[in-house]
Amino acid sequence: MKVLLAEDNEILRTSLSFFLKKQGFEVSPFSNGKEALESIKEHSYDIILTDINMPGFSGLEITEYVRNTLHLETPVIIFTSSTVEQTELDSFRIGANEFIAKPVSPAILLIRMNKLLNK
Amino acid sequence: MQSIILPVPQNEEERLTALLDYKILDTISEEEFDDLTLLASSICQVPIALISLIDKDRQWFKSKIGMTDAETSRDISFCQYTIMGDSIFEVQNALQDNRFKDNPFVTGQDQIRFYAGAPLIDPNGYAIGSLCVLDRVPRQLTKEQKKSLQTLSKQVINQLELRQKNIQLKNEISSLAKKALEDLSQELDSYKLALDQTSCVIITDEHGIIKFVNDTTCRVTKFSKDELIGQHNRILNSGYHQPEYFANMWQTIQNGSIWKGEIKNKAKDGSLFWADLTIVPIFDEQGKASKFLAIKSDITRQKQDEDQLKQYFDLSKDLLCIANTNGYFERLSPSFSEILGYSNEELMARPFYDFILAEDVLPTQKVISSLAAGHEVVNFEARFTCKNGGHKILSWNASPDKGTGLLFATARDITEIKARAEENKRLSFVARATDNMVVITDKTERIQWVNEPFEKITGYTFEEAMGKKPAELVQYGGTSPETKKTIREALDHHKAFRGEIQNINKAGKEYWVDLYISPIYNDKGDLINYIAIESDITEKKEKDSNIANLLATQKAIFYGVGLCVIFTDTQGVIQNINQAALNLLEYKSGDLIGKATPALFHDPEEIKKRAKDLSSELGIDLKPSFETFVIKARSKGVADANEWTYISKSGKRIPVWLSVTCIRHVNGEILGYLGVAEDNTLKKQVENELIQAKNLAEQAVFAKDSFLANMSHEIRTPLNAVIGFTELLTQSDLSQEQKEYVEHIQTAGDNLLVIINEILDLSKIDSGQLHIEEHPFNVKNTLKHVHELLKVKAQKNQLDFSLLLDAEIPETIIGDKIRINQILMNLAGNAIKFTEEGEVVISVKKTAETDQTITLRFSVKDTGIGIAESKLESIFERFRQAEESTTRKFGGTGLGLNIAKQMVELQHGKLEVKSKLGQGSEFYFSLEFKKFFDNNKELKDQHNTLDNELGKLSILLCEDNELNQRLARTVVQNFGFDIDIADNGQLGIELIKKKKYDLVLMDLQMPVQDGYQTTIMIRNELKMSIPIIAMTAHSLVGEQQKCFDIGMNAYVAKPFKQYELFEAIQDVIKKQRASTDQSQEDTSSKESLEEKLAPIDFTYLDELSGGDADFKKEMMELFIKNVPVDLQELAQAIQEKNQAQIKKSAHHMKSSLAMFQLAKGIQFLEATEQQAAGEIMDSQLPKNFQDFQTYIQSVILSLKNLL
Repeated sequence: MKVLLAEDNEILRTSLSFFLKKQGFEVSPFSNGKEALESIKEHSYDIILTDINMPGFSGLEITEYVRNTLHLETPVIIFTSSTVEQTELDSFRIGANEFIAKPVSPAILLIRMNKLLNK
Repeated sequence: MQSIILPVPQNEEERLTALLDYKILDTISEEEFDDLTLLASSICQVPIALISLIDKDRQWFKSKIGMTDAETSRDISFCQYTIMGDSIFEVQNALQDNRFKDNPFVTGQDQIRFYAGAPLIDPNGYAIGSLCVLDRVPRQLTKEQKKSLQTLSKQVINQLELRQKNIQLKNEISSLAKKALEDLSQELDSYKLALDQTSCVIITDEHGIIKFVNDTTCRVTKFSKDELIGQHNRILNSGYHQPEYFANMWQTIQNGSIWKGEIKNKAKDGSLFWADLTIVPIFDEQGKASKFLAIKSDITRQKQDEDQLKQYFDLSKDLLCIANTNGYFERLSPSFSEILGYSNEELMARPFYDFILAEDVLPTQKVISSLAAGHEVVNFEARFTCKNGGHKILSWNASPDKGTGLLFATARDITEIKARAEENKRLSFVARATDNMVVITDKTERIQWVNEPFEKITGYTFEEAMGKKPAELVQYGGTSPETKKTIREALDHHKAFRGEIQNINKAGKEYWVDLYISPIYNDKGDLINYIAIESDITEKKEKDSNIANLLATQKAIFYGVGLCVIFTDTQGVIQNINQAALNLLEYKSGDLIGKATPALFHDPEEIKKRAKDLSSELGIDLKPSFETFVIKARSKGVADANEWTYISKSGKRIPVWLSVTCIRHVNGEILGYLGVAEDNTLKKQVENELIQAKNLAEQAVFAKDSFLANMSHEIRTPLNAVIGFTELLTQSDLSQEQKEYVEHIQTAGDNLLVIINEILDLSKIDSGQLHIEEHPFNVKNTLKHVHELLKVKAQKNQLDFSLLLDAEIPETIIGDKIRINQILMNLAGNAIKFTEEGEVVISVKKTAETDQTITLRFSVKDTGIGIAESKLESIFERFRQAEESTTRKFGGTGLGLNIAKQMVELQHGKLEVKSKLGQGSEFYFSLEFKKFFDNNKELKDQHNTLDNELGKLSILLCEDNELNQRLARTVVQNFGFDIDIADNGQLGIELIKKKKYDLVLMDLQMPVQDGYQTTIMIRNELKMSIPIIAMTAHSLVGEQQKCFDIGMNAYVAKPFKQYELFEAIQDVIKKQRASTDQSQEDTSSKESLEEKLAPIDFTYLDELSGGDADFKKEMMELFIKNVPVDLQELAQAIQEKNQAQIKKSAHHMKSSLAMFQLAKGIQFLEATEQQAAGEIMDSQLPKNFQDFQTYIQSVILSLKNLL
């Protein structure tokens, strides 16, 4: 399973990719929304995990592009850090399949990922 | 050598035919012939004897003794001569015979000398060869020998004849046998075929293992050959028969007898069948029954039934079927394929569930189970799919046959019946339930039935309407003749009509209906009824006209509005543009619509710049494009308004205020963009003028402020020294005269300070920086103090100066002591100044009281020169005194009254004056104070509280001015504290690093490194929370706030009064000690910081890493590396008050802290992020940030310790 991970915080990014690799995923980590999006255009991923606030493009912009321009159905999980409901609603409206509030619980992340991937 | 004519018999041809007929040539040697040659050689006593047959070109030996050649050429043979005659041909010595002396047999190795041959003459007289004897020596046969040889030759012919007959006989027999065999097998084949066609043939071994099956067996049992062969014949056992049944069968056949009986078997699909069974044992050589042949058939009975059933099924028009409980049709009448479109083969090939609609499968399965259990089923409905789509509803009756497990069922196609019933149900439901009016008339258009809505809307009851024509009841006079005619024509031609018409009800009210009239025919096609359905569309009609108006209005706005309105598609191509925009831009709509984007009339440089700004603002790489205009409008979801510059077709630059809105479909899809632009040319001009004016004004204010700042600094620094040393001087031993002088200096200094303070106060008041404080204070003591201070002056003027205090005034109230003091000093000071004789009275009275507050009226009354009525208004203005001459005569700045007035107003009072020229004045005001309830707390006069409760503090002073250094040293040492002095901030930092101080007194203006820089270094780099008190002559607006913002703890203006400094020291030390006691940690010391490590929660990290130690270490190192960088970024952002950056940095750090679950830090970052997002600048932020920084520092220390 190929996972794209877009998160600008190095510590969180490194931790999550370490965790996901240990779970047997093939992880491509990106610290910048723009680079992540370029990679999505060129490679096929089984699932996309993305932070909301990032340099380059935001998680919402990535999701919107994946859905509306690339017309991909790749599952997208957005990491939100604000507890503002609107962000979460926006995530869904734009086409994200799940959002997970930070700090991201590894167990919950895994459950949500598996749920999306086994659909 | 002479040539020899070779002899050929006259009948050579026939002779050869006769020879060939014997079919002897080239056959193998036969005993019968060899016996004869042996006999010949022994009778004639020669070594060689031959039976030589003369073929066309050769002599071939059927038998030979003493010769190895199988044949020789005919022309060299002796025998060719023999066959010419019918007696013995003898050559006694070949060497002497000319015919033979050169013969190879003679000259060659055979060395033949003697030859004697008897011709072999067949019964027809043909000489076919000879029986001859040969020798290598010349000799002569005896008479007897010759006779014997001839006899033997006859014997050879006899043998040949016999042989030929034998062969003929054999052939005859074999052909006969073959024919008989063919006949027989043909017969057998037909038997076998018949058997195969009608019966199952199964051969098993003695154990019952199947060795052979025929095709019929496979067809009947539904097993393939492979599935059966090798299996025990129990595979077909139905379980129907008792074990004794089979025991009997086995006993019979194992005894070698044939078994006959009826048996019920089970096929592969579970279906059961009856068969007549014959089992024949087959015996092996030992006479044991080693195989069994089983033949199963039911030809007679089945055939009959089958034929009848077939006819019944095939001819039936009804839906008949036989199915099994396993879900297969076994037999179907042809009607099924007619109805469903599948062939019967297709229907039987798959389980019938495959043809049933998914929703009906479960009910069907239940019914089949019920049938399997032996119950009958009646009128069970199930929907079957049709091959060409759709489905048919079949109603089933079915009975099970217990014996065979088969289901016998009949079905009816009730699809249409159902549909009709459904339609009827729906129609009647609709007619009753609908809000629409339903009218049914007979064919003469007379009403037969109306529904309730008709009654309600038209106002006519059913009874009233019965028998009338609808036109008589509701036709509106205003309906156009054309409409009437159209309806008439439709009805006359028995056609349906649909249209909107206006009707009128019983009460005369008009209403609009959407009318649908349809003729109704019976089965025979005769017109029987009309049905009319009418819906009331009055409201819709009205709404339509409203909407039409709305659209018209929108259009009018679009074209009529004075603003430029431009619609683009998502790519920016202009879709519509209004006249105002065309006028402004000087383009024609044809130039733009569908052809251009707004970039055409924008300043390209401006777009580039904006794209760059947005790129850095949004942190993306935005190219100058249409996106530059809309990116914010799209992400914000509301209009995004900015200043832009349009460039008209002729090149005119037009500043506009452009508001861009993203137009979305209700589903969120972006449809395009709307730009509304306002011509800003005029506005821009006005704005520019205003900005210029404002800049000028600000420059003026700045000039004033900077003048004041400079003046106060320049004057206060020396004055600080003057007043300070004078104060010290008064404390030393002086002569009376000296004391007097010193007091003069003191008074002069104080006056000068008053003037400067007044100016500074005014500057503070102007900028709103003067705050009224609320502290408990002893109001009576304050008033007494003012009286006390001014008494000396009044006495000099020989005035009666009295203080009248209302007895009801409480000792302590809450308010601003300093300001009250300042106001009264000013008013009373003025009164004394302007009164040459008589009295000055300060009086305070309580005028009102509530539970919480008390109102006091303050009055200063004199018998002085008074103020002319015309001047009463202007005396409160700045730099104004009642008379110009006053200044010359009495001195003063003319600011005092203005300051007093404003200070009263800041306390929500009003300073008023009553005066008569030459008779005196009264200045008075009323103020409301909060009551003070804590009577236990003794208020101390701060002048007398220099008692040192603080112990021996170690203080560092950073100050460049030598005089001030000396003054401060003396004062601080007098307080009982130790003091070290640094000439500038840099030296101060060095001292701090070396020695532990309790407090820093920090001058702000210093060379090398000023007080601000030094403080920032102490807080951010040394990470020390040591109290810092700012000391400055620069007591300007905002100064104090700036000091607090960078982390100083208190502020003392120079020149300082001793008690003010002491108070400040006491205040910060007490606060420091309080917080230290509370948190049980001394953060001012680096050593103790290290001792105290922040607790770190690794559970989250452990969950992520699965306890991987290397990974954990890596994360800790990353934290130590990254977080201080983030921290520095945040510090800078806070200092620059860059809200966007604060938000970004705080947000970024949050995730790092979350890794180690640093809740305290996260809390700070969250609050900071939210405040920054809301553009709120919390004055506590620099202070809180310091705490945060200290906290992170301790976390990093903890992490380093763990590594």
